[in-house]
Amino acid sequence: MKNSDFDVVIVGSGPSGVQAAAAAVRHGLKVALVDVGYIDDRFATLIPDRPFSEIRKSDPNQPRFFLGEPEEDASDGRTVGAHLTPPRRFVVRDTEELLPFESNGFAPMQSLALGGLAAAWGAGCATYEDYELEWAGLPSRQIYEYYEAVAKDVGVSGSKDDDVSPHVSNIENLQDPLDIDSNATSLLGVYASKRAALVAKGFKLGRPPLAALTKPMGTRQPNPYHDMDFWSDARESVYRPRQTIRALSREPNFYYLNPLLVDRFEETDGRPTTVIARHVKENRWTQITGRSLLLAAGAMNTARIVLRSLARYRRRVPILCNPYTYVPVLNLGMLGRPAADRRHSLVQLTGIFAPPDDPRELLVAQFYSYRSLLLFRLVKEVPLPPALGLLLARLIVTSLFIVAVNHPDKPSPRRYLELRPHAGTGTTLVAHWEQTPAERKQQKMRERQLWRRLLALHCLPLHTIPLPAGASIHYAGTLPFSDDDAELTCTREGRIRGTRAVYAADGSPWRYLSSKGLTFTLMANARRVADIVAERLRARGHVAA
Amino acid sequence: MKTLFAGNRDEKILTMARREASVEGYAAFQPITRGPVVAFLGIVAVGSFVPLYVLWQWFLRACPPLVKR
Repeated sequence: MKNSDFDVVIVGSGPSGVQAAAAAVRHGLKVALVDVGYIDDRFATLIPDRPFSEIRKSDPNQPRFFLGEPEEDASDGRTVGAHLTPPRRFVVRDTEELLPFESNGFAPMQSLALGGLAAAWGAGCATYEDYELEWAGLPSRQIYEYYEAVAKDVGVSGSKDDDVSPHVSNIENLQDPLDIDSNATSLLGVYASKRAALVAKGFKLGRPPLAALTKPMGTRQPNPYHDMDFWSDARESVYRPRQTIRALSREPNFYYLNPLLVDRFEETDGRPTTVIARHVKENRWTQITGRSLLLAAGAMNTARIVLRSLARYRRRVPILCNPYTYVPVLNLGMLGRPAADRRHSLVQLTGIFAPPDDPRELLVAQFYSYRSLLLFRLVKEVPLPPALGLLLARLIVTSLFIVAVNHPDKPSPRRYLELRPHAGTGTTLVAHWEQTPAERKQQKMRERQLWRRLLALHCLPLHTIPLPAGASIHYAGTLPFSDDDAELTCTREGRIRGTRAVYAADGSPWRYLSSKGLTFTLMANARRVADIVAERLRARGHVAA
Repeated sequence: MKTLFAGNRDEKILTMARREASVEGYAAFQPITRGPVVAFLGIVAVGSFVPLYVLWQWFLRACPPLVKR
């Protein structure tokens, strides 16, 4: 089988891939999106569109989706992607076999799902500030325009006028924020009473921008506050890339080609770029040709494809990944108080901490209340006999936050990827990720400073849960932007040096990874790269003006 | 990890998970929220968490025959 004559071939259906595809289709280009595209074919129809508490009280089928079939969830000791409930496990299906990876403790999550990792995304839509975009190598004025376009497409709700909005919600196209739950309301009340002192100490608290609706948008409906967001996509309130694929599939110039795993690309002078991919079900090879190729397979797998295509084995490329910490925190103001049933399960509040040693290297703390992930998971983590652990969990659950803290990351010679030949799988991606003692010390110091701000909010950090590197699921920086004509770097437009028409449309070229979560900026940048490619094709007369 | 109570911890957690994810187990896994008394107990529970944990670890080391089946 040979697929040819595409203007643009895009690899990967994650947030970058679908936004690049949407922009390219809008330009009238003939677009192929190549993807493996696994979907949830086990659980979606099992989970009723009802509140968590009603399901718990009356649904006899609940063990099937709460525990999985067989009971895969109860005994799972995973720390990376601990939020992946059985209905979300399709996101990592077959990755160990099809995306071979080795490391010295770096434990990334990869995906071959329709929508990529964003099929289980927490919907955070933070915007970067000017200096963060500049440090990443992105043009801030352009990216702000693309933020608005993406917000219109995916639907973002959030606050325009709280303390964190200048840092994370710098967009006009915002729906009203989601209602926060009892625990978060209590914490925000304490923050209001101590605001001046906390702001003076570099800490701000507010509502996060989320790709979750509070007003209808097309066929998507507002969040029903069922607290089932870890388990299902009820009413499609939360944006998933498959929604964009579904809309694009109605366009005559869009082609979704699956289940294809891209192995490499080839460029021959004067001929279109050829993508060589394997049909993962029938185990046969196919070729797709296009005038331009946009790689949006995620920073690690884009690097894998480029290194394999250019035969650059054992060549080191950098990797960026936010160091990440989980901390269970007790909100003393809520202890012993009942919590309202109506709530969503996404991030309730965002804390921004500007460390005194470098106030621009922000730490971002995401506050999740705990309920619908079930108490047994908490009990599993408590070093007490299970019965006592359960009693403790029942006592503290309405006042418990799981605070997820991200640190920024920048390139280091101690953190890199390389592609090695492998007897069994052909090639394997090998990661080395290590922090210097000074980096570790600085990270601990900043965390201790953040814990002091939490104590001022009457929040007691109970225990820092150590997570392996890679657990943030934020990856970037493998083919960095460079003004020098160096191999395995990208031009400012995103073209990969050493290629004629192959572009990185994901986070591969970024030179800095802010702690704010990268997905919204990934989507904005993907649209920018697609516009650049469309402009070039138009200038060469390949597409009508 | 073995506990003072007979049985493997993972098995106990699995049994607990099965009970929690069932209609019958609904009430037994609800939050305990009974005002100031509960708040006091909560503070005591959390406040004694660290010493309890230290004691428990000491006990595990000091009395292995009682702990292991």
